[in-house]
Amino acid sequence: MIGDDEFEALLHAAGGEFAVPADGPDKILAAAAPPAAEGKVVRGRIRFREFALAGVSVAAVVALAIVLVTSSGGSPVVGNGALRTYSLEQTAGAQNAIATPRSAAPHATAQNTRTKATSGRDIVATGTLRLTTTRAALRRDVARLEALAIRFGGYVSAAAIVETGPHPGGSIVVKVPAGSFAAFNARAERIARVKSLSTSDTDVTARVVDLGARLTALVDERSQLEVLLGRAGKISDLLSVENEIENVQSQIEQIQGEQRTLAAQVGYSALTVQLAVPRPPHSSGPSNGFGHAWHEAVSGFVNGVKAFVSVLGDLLFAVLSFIVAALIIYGLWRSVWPRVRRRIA
Amino acid sequence: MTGASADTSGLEDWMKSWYAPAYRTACLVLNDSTGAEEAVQEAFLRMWRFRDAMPEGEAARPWLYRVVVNSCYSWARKEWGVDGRRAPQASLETLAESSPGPDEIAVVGDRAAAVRDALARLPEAFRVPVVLRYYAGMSEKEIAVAIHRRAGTVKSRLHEARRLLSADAALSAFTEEEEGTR
Repeated sequence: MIGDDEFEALLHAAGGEFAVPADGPDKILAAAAPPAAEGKVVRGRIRFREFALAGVSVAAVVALAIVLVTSSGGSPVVGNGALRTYSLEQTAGAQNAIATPRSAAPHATAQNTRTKATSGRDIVATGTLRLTTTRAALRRDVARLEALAIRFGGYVSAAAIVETGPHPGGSIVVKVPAGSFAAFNARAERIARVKSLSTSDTDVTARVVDLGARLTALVDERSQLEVLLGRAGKISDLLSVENEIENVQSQIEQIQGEQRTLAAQVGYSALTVQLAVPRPPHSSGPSNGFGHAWHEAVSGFVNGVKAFVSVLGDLLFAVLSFIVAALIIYGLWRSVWPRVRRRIA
Repeated sequence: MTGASADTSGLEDWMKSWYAPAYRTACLVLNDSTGAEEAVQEAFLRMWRFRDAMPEGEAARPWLYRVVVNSCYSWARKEWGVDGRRAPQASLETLAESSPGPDEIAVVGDRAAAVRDALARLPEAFRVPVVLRYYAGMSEKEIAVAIHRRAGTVKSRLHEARRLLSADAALSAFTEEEEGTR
């Protein structure tokens, strides 16, 4: 039989033969980068099957769109005069596209209403979905959420999952394009039993407008300062204008940063999915065998101590009552008896 | 540099240093270089996503191999069907990293090919513990954690795998020949 050392040498010889791809870690780090477009796993090769599937999906979507348009008499106008439109939701990697007729499903209708209400406005949408799952299904549900996020063109921005220990569960923050938020929520609700779903919209239009106005004003100010810089004759004036330009420039950069952050928040809605595993019901004790006997014994001992304390309490009360009564009688006797004795004498 | 970016840069370095061992382990498990690359990529991406839950220090290594093995299983199921088995790959695009002479290349290549073929003939349930034990250098306890089996099961599988590999005609012929040359 081959020895352990020999096995090790053989396996290392065989393993050492494999040439490690030099760009492997870089590919992974590129795929792990947070922006949505890069959130998808970069594959080494594009498979024909995936390509064919994408082609068939696009063809089916186009066919469905044609059927729906022609079924409404060739006119895109509906009863209330509003155009019947179809939202085209682009997924990550721009490979798959899901065209959803807005009147086709409840979540699509909700999305329609939302889009109308928020037309021309900058809305930051967030939500919290609390799901109840089982310990065995926890990992599967997390993987499903990840896959769903990628399918909707989003990504997992943060995750904290505890799979082992007495309290398994955790939370995942998924960011999806704002246009797909309602549809994503509807699909995420199907992954496990829903405990609650809450969403909130914050209108940041005023903030966006304000930032835009401040930026314009600061850019104008910088231009004027640059003109002054050209006219400055003394070195002290020159330094003073330069300092002022630096201040204005830093304010401009700060506002541009805020604008980028707001644009990211408006473009991508965040859903925090909390996965909880309910605790098993507390056992009232074993029902048979030695365990049952032990349980009964412990229970009996506790009951005995309880009864003893209860009896002891009653006894103590009786003794104290007796002592108090005896003291009262003794006091009375001491005060009354001398008079009685004197009267008798 | 913020604390968070410092953490991620540390993780990046860690991933780079462990990429090669993880990749070669996956190659030995799957006997497929493309599959190994995809499985390791998937494993590291999972680790990146769940980096907050990643254990620190020595415990990180078994955790890494656990994720790599699971990714290999997933890849095998997806590519080769439910049982994750297939015929051994006829040829792998492997290149020796060192630069030995022509005779040495032939000997090393033969030995490596014999080991790879013998591993490929081994059932998956035995192949994974063997690779983790003798290539990754994990203890039986760590392997048990990595493949979700009891330590006793790992021990018996390793014993059975050693018996099967020793009985493998091609491999034993090679090892006997090697002993003869010594």
